[in-house]
Amino acid sequence: MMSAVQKQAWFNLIVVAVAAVTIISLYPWLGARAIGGAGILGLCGLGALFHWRHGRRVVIDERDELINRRAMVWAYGVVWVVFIIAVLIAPRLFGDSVPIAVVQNSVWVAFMILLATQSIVALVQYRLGAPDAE
Amino acid sequence: MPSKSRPLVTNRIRELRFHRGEMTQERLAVQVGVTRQTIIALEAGKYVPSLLLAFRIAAAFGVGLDEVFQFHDKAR
Repeated sequence: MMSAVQKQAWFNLIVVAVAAVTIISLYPWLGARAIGGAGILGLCGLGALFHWRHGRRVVIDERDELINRRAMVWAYGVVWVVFIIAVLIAPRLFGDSVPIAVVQNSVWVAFMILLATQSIVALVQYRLGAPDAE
Repeated sequence: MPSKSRPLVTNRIRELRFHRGEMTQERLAVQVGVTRQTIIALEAGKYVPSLLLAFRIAAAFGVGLDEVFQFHDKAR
């Protein structure tokens, strides 16, 4: 039996995977326009449905909130590290002028990394044990 | 996540549920305002609750906090 946060994490992970596969598979035909496949990420908004409350049953409690908070901290940390690495690598790859498409697409890539990391960290914490409520 | 160097908090939730006429995890969860998964995690020793939740659990069983939760400080 999974909690609402677990279900949402799996859902987000699947949506990110489908979006990534779509972008990669469309790239040979559409080139930079294949990033339009990132629109699939909009499905993540449906994750809110997992938080629908049924009767008196609690959907999210303090443990879920702790797990979610730690997952978000990890996700933002990973995105920040990737951003720093990308900034350091970009001049070596593109010289003095980074194409505008790369800058635009990096926003979507960052969002995908954020969602994927948050989901994975949340799922790992449910598996191994949540941080204590101290 | 629990680490070996930190103090350990154990609990008797499972035992107390048994003594309360096999109270279900679901019923206890609804009573204290958490999900059943959290009760499972507590019983498995995978989660140490907040003080507020600890008091709620003790109140649900009608006993004192120290009858539900035990603190084991390894440093002592």
